[in-house]
Amino acid sequence: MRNSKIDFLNRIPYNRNRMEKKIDMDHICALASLKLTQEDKAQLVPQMNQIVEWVDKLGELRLESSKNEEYTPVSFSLSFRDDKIKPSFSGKEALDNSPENDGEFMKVPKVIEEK
Amino acid sequence: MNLTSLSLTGLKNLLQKKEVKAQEVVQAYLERIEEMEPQINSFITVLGDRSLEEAGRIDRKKSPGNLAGIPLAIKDNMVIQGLRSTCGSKILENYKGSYTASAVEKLMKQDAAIIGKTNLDEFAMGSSTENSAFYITRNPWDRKRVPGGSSGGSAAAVASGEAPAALGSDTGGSIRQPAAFCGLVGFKPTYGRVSRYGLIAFASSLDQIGPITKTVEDSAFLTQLIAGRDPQDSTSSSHPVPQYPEEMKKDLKSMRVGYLKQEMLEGIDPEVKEIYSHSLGYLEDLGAELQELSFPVWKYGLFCYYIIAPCEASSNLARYDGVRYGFRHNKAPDLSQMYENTRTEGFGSEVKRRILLGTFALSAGYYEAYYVKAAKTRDLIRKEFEDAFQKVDFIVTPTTPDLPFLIGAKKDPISMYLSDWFTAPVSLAGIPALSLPVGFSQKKLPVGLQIIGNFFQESNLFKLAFRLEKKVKLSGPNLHRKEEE
Repeated sequence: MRNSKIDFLNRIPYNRNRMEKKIDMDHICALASLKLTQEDKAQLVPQMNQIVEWVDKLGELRLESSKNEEYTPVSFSLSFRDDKIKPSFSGKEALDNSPENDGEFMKVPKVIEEK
Repeated sequence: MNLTSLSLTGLKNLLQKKEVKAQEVVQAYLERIEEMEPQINSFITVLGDRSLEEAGRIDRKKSPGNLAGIPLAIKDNMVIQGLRSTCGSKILENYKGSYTASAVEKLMKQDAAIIGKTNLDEFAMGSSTENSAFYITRNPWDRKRVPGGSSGGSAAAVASGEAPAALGSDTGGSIRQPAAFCGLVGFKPTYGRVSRYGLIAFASSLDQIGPITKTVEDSAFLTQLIAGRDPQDSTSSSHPVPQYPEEMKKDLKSMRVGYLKQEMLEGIDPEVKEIYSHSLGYLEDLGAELQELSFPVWKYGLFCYYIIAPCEASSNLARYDGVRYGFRHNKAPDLSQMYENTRTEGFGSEVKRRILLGTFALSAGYYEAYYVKAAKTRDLIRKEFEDAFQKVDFIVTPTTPDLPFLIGAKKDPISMYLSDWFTAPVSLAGIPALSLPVGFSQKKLPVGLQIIGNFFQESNLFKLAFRLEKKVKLSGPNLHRKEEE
């Protein structure tokens, strides 16, 4: 492993050899269902680039893909409930928190465009 | 007698001997909340009348449960049926729980009187509680400073005597860091030790509920009450739950303690470093066999964490679409714009940052380079801890690299993320860790020591922490009174 020195105080990280990476923010926003205002963009885009550049330091770690496995969060076997029907939320309870409903269904703006 | 300066165990003894009524206890805490809240802002919701009624009901019981009417504060990312559960977000501002989180329900079954829901960084994303959509919580030790986060409201409530103990949740340090900043005991159990059912999800492979208390004994007591298998959470473990408070007092057979190599402490606050060295001295006095350890993968933990956690968050937070619950933007012409506007208006900037980061790291072309690489690194981190636990029984580190910092001091996100330097790798490995108050800076700011144990070694962790607590003589029921001395 190279460079074991902790770069803790590297508060504004800068990696000379970093891979140039242009984040396509419009695409990422569309995937995440978020809209950014110009103001948001001015703040978030440089921050995102900086954070991505920062986590890119993970690239220093050489992994031999054949030997390394992906982590699994639990070391014990998961056990599931029996597949039996039990009382659950009533319709009213399930609708109670919805911003708009007609007592039976949740209402959303129209999905199909008019011709 | 000042009821609000007692530890949870102290209160329990009084209540069980019937020297005081649950209603008197709850009343005393409500008064304390009224006095402290204008300065501290620990709570999002205070359950005044409800907790008094609850205490009255408990007072009338012939044989009350283990908590006998003790008021407890709950971080507002755990749902309670019929009560507002905001998660510190505008998007859930008016959300009412349809059910109760298993950990909270277990406390209620033991007759806890839930006194309020505490403030947090929105969706538990942050290390200062400055990211709450509602207001900033202040550190009771110095009100110009942050209480840490994301369980900052829970920690500030206990440190200011507004509650004798609280539940928090920890994803990358969110129990341990605020506990350290507020001079308290904060415990993150092994992943799977406590059910996550009803904990509003941030990063599901990391999230874990745990107690924030004044003493190690209180921590052991609450952990024992909330731990155990829950059919509602398939990742909860059926590993037996020992009687931690009793176990804690038994002999500690082996006390091999690993500490960090000097180079891993470079750049941290010099006072934190000094207090860390002192703690090693205390451990030696207790008979611990100290061993210096190096963790070559540790420094990648934070980068790994800031890929894994945002990836999981971006997926978990996709559910907030303004249809089934939560805030909805009402003026959108069609469904997809309603989704976008709802999320854009409902989420705060840190949450958006993490959703975008996670979406990016999971997107086509980047998934292998980021998510898969981080998942593999995570496995290396776990193995590094496993190897260390071949040589030692415990590992100790400072809990935080910094002293409690000034409100507004960390505007750059990365400088905030660095708060998780010592805690995030532990979360990635899924092992338990406890933060114990071990000293004060010159400005009288509390400093914590993180004691890390192997999987499901909770009993041993409490044993060591209990011994060290007695040695250090810092934590304890009267800690929070310091500001009034």
